[in-house]
Amino acid sequence: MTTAQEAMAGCAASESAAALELSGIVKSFDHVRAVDGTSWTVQQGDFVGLLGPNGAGKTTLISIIAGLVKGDSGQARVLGIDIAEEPNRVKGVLGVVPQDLAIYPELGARENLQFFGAMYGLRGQELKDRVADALRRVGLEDRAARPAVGKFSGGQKRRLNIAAALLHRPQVLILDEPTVGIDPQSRNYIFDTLRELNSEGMTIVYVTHYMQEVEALCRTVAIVDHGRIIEEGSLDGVLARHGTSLVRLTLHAEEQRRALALLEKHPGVTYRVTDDGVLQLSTRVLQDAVDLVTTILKDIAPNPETCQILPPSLETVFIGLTGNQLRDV
Amino acid sequence: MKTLHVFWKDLLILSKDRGTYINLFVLPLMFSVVLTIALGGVFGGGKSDSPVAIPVAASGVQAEAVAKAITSIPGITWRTANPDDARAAVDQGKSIGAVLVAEDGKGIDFYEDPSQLTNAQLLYGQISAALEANRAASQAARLGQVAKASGNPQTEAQGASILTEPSLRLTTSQSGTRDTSAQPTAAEQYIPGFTVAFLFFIASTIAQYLFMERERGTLRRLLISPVSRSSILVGKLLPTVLIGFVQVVVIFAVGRLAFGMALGNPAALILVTCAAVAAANGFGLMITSLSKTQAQATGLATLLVFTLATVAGCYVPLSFMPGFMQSIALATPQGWAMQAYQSIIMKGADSLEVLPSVAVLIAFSLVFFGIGLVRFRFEER
Repeated sequence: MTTAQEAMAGCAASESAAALELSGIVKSFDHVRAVDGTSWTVQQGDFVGLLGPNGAGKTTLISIIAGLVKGDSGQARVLGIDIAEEPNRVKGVLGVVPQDLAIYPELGARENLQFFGAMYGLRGQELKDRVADALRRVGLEDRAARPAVGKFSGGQKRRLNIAAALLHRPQVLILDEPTVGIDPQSRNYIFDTLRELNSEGMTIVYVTHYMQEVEALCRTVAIVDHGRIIEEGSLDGVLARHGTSLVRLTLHAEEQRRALALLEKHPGVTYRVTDDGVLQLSTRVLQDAVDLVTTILKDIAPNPETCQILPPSLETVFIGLTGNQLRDV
Repeated sequence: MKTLHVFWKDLLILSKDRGTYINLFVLPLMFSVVLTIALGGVFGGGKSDSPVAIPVAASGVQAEAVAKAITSIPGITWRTANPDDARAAVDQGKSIGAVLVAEDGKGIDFYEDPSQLTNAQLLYGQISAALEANRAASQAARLGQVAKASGNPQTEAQGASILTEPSLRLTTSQSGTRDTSAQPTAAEQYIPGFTVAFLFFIASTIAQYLFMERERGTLRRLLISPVSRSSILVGKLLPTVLIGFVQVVVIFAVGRLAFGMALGNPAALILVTCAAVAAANGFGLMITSLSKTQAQATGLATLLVFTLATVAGCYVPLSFMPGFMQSIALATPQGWAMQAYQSIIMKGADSLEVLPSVAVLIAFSLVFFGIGLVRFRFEER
């Protein structure tokens, strides 16, 4: 039985299982806990955004799901298949698009895909058909015969990077920052491709720190920080639960001291000074936020270093939950 | 099957890399051809019959006087011995020559190792000059004594006998047990020499391609697919194994066609090449596994490859080196490969005769692969 056949057999046996099921996953490197007891379930057919800053534990989590790294404890299943017990079956149903452009620039697009397809046990006409299909999905048919992908544009390379993960027709696809550094045309092409794949039943986990992309693509969202999933649910539900307006002010020390004294007189306002010294106020109603900042600007700090008023969004949810902006944004 | 796909993919990439051709084929060919032409008969190998003798042992009634002359030459180690022991030392290759003074003190024979030419030729002149200088000094001293005793009726006769005293007669003879063909021609030195040196230079290419695969993230992508780590590693090493064989075929073919170098027993040649290529690839994997970056691995490989090749006698015949250097050569895989290749092309050694060298090379391979496999990390943390 080929790997592809094994994979299909695996799918048939796990139609009712969750696409992804993590339970109490812990992983430490040199006494630093990268994943700290994460439990997370992704249903089949979902399009979920996994949000988190660099160092939050996303890559380690993906590595554990992909079978590259073994967790210290906990259990991980893909379509009901235990990763630790049957790693090759999991590899047959799981596709991973790495953040790196993991393709060979010396080879052509077709040569790259034929090689990666062969790694999944695909042969002969089936391999040729899968390569042609993957190239069509990412809009690179006209580039297939070019001698070397090293001369492709950044967007074309990104699309080929995705195509290489589609050859074995995975049931679950994890994409790690798939749109870093590309042009809007390629980004839109990738979005359309992913929507099409999802509409065909593929479960997609979209890992990013571009919140707008999650808002544009995903139905559900999970936010990870310090190795834990700190919030998850439908996009609307998360916004309803945590969607607050935010005012972010960077003030001089004396001004900040006076502003804090003023805020103490308004018990209905939630505020904090973040790690990077920003005074952050959150309110449920945007008008309240505007009134507060007006008062501070008028009475205390007419010329603050920075002043931001943010309406409810995933970004304000993230900031509200973690106290920090996504660190690379 | 997946191993073969990895092999074919890497071969395609390697074939598009001009640096590979330059480093692994053009450079060794250039060095071996140019040096073979430039240094034609410098090692004295082949049919040269130049008389040589380097004294290291002396015996006979005038041993003291001869030893005194020899010790005036810097850089010579000598000892006294009886004639049989002195000859045996040369016969066994422990000394490159012996000075044998006749019992009557009238003749000195230089008993030589004919496989040692150039060094001997340089010293031969020094020894002759030293003996002549010693004789002249002795004559002057004795004439002085005669002058002091002037008036004595016997003085004139003594002075005349000193001045007409014949000088010591220097002859040479050669050890019958030593083979003149033991000294290589330039082609027999440089064709296998640069083949062996650049066979191990593949270590740099192995490191380059393994690190490149890891840094690009393609190794990670391969690990995510259902292919075993051993398939990946074997598939990645197969192209460099193939390159090793092609290197030997190409450079030896040039040696044969351009310089008429004998190729010897084909089976023995293949056997040694298999073992040497295995050792070179194991060496490459070990260097890669012990390095943290590609630059570090390439630097380490270059340093070790050229140093070990020099010590192993790839560039200069081992017989030109001091005894301790010749011993060090046997601690290197290049030294054993060199010794095996030269015994095939110079002495016509067959498969059985090169088996000890092959066994040592395989032992080196096992050690290198063992360290490489234990230490190699597929992923950076």
